[in-house]
Order: sequence, then structure tokens, then C-alpha cells
Amino acid sequence: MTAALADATPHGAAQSARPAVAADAAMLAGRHLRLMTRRPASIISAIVLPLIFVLLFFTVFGRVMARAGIDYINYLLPAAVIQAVFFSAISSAILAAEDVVGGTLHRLRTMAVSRSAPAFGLLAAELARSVLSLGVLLAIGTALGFRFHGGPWQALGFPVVMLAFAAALVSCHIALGFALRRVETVTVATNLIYFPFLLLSSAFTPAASFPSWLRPVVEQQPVSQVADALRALTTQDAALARPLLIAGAWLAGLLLLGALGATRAVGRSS
Amino acid sequence: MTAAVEADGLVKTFGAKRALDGLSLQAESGTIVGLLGPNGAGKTTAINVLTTVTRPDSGHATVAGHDVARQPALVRAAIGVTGQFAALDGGLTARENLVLFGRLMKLGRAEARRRADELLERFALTEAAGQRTATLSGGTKRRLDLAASITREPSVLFLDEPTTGLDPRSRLALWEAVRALRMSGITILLTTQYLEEADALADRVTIIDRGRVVAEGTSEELKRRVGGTVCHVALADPAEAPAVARTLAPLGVVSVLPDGVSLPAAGPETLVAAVRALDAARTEGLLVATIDDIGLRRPTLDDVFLALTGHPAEAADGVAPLDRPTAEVGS
Repeated sequence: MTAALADATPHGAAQSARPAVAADAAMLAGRHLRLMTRRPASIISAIVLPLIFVLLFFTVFGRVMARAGIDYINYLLPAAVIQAVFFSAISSAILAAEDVVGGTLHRLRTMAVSRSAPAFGLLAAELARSVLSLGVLLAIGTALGFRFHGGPWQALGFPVVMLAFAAALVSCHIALGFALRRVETVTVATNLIYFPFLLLSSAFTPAASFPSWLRPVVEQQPVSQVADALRALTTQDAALARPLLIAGAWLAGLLLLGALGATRAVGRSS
Repeated sequence: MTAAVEADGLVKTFGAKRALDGLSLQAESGTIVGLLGPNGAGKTTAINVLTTVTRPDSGHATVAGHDVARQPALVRAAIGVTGQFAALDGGLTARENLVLFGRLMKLGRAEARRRADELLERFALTEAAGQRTATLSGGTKRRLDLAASITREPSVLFLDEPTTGLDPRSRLALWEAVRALRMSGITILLTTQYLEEADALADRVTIIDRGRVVAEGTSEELKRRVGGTVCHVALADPAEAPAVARTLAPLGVVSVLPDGVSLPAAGPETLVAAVRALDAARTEGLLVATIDDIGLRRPTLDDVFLALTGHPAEAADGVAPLDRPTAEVGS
């Protein structure tokens, strides 16, 4: 087989006939990161918007919550982290759709590039962006009094859960972007996910404050589960196993859905 | 001579539409083959099948010796593709685009940079090197796209309507670039709806219509099938055509055309005789027609297309090429 490969590809492309997912994905991740740094909108939604939300919410609700005996910045920061992940996911869906519209995806499919590399590359870039957002949020949070009250393992678990959530949400959004193939459609679809899932969750408002008929949905949906897990990781004596398991199950399911969807959309016959 | 591209009985349907209806074609190694046909003839679908993007419903094709259905990875490693729309990253500079594609084609970092500079030089893109691709003109983008598709010198290059939407000067520049690639031994399969483009670039032309091949040969052979040289008289007022036809009747069977008349020409003597006959008739006051142009004309690929398909190539397209991505075409 090796001999046949060498004969058939006179330009020394024998190795490239077997695409290397990791190398291809790394190259494409580099491309997306470079593009993000050149897009003011990308930088704003990764750094400035999360900052503004934290400052706004803290200023508006901080004192009221303090009077009610709630450590508001510790309540708020996980919500802001979740929101930042949503921004990253929306960005990934748009970038994915742009690659379809611009013909880049089509071209990659004619090249000796792994079929899953476009999705993995974009995912890696968005995860890097999520890390940046997390850093910014932890910095401002710490300045406003956010603390990890658990041990170092819980503190380490916080970014791990956030990145797992990012991987799950972003991969679903990438699949959406590749499948919908139109930037306007993608914008509408991502908003239809973002608003209900974020607002009807325990991220910004405790589930108890929702009307009783809505409460089961609010409590059970994945964004609330992730918010609960993140909060459990910031407190001292919370039972960790249950929220982490539930959030983990949701994220594993979403990740699988996203990975299958994205690979399918990329490989789909046009 | 071996066939670098060989397709046999390709069929691809999208719903009720048969985009490819038993298409067979060949491209000998080192030649340029033009795939000519109106919009909707199946050109892009044919390219998509040959470049492993679309699976045919039936039929069989090999590119650079590899089966497109069974060895797609080997085919991809051996080809370069330039689609109808420059698939470049608008946010990256021309040079960054070339380096990226070089890296994706598994060139080392230094090698990819060296190759990018070489291609920028070769395709007269040095001025554009540091500019974001989104700001470049259409012609420049297409040249860059072409350069990107040969970053790793392919053995077969597919060009899907490489000059659609370009102004005449950019088109000529692209033609030059394509000819230069042929000199380096790359086999090129080019689709076009411009007859003059196939005429100017292709060694052999395959004419397709409704997913099927209607004719194949060199453009000379195809023209010969339609008939020989004619003497063509273009008139300022087409209403004068019958009078002119009567004057020229002794020289042969005259056809009345929308813009004048024509008659079969044995050679330059027919032209001389026609000029004499028209001049004599005018001197005698028998003819008042204003002649715009008179000359020998060899049949064009337009005539070939009309003769073979029963409809003219240009009229068949009906709409201007749509400005939409290749990925959506035919989906």
C-alpha cells in the first residue's frame, strides 16, 4: 500500500493522503484566532460585554441582594461565565456559516484535510476565547469580592466545568452554522436558543422566583444544571457529586449531538 | 498519453432534476480540457463529483489514477480546485491565505512561506501580498485563488468557471496564468460558459447540455462539424439583405442572417468575387445598401453549440451567473 501511495502521488503527497486531524485542526484554529483578533465585534463580545454585564448587574442588584443576605458576586459570576460561553457559541455559529457561504468549507472538502478538522479547529479557537473571557471575568470578579470558598480542587473544577459547557454548546452551534448555511438564519436561530435558555434558567435569577408552573422546566434545563454545578464549586460544603453528575451527563449528550451534527453537516453532499 | 481524468456514465440527481445524466469525459495528461455548456448543464456537479465533494448516484470516475468514490483521500491529495467563487479568507492577507493553504497541504512552516512568496511573484500579486483579501478586486482575488489551489503543485487542476464575472482585462490575465500552468505539465479541467474561453484555452472541448455530452473534440474539429468558412456581409440595414442576396446569388447559396448575409467560401477568391459583384451592382445603381463589414468568417463555437443542441449557448443561460457560493450550487 505504501508503495502504491508513493507511485500514485508523485509530489510527495503520500503522507497528506492520510489527513492528520490534530494538525489540520490546529492550523484552522490559528486561522480563526487570527480572524477574531481582527474583528472588533469578536473582541468586544469576548472581553468587553462580559465585563459590562458583571459591572451592570453588580451595581444594580448588588446592594439589594446583600441586604437579603446573598453573596451576590459569587452568585453573579457563574451566570456571567455562562453568558460568555453563549457569546462564544453564537460567534462560532456565525463563523461556521461564513465558511459555508464564503466557499472555504467547500474548498477544504476538496483538499487532503480531515473532514472533522473544520469543526475541531473552530471549537479549539472558541475554547481559547472562552479561556480569555474566563480570565477577564475572574479578574473583575475577584476585584468585586468573588472568592472560591471550597478547596483548590473545587477551584480547579470551575474552569473545567466551564470549558466542558463551552465545548458542548459551541459544538452544537458549529453544527447549526454548518447546517443552516446562511448568516441571517444563523443569527435568528442562535437568538432563539440564547434568550430562552439563559433567561429561563437559574443563571441570573433563582429558580424559586419563577412561577410554579414554569419552575420544573427552569430547574431541569441544562443551563440551570451547569449554573448549579458552577455554584457548587464556589461554595465550601456543597454536595458536589449530584450537580456535577447531572451537568456532566447533559454536557456529554450535547457534545455528542454537536460532534455528530457538525461532522454530518460538513460531510453532507452538496 | 494517459488519461488524468476519466469519467464514465456519471449520473447524479437532485430530486427530480438529473444534473448528470450519464456523463463521460476524458482529459489526457498534460492537456487543458474545456467543459463547455450553459448554466444548469451540469458542469459544477461534474466538478463536484470529480473533486470528491459529491458522490455520484452511479457511474465511475478516476482522477490522477484514483477512484473518486473509493479513494477520495488520494484524489484530494493529487488535485487543486478553484471554484466559481474565490474561497479565500477575507480577513487574512493574500500572503496569509497562501501560507494557510500551504500549511493545510502539509508543507512545513518555512516551505509554506517560501512557496507563498514564490506564488505571489509568479501571479503578479506582490502588491496585494499584505492586503486583506476582502479589499482586493475580483480579478486579483481569482488569481490569488488560482495560486492557492496550486500551492502544492497538483497533478490535476479543476477550474470551475474561473473568469465568470471578471472584466475583460482580468480575464486575459487569468487566461495567461492558466496557460502558464499548462506549460508546467499540470492537467487542467476547466468549465466555462464562454465559448471564446474554451476556444482560447482548451486543447480539447467537451460540450455538455442537460448533464450529457453532446460533442467532443478539438475546437477546430467541432467547428468543422458545423461547416466550413463563410463569406459574411454585415449590413447597416438588414432590410437590404434580400437585394444583397440577389446580387451575390451567382456565387453560391446565400443565407440571409439577422445582421446581413453569408455564403459558403472556397477561399479568399470568394471574398474577392463578392466585393467585385457588390461594387459592380452599386456602380450600376442596382444596389444602395451600406455595407458595415465584409470578410471571411470561420464558424465559432457559438455556431457549434447552436447546431449541436438546437439552442444557442448564451440564450440558454437566461440569467446572469448567480453570485452565490459553490457550496449551495445544486443543493
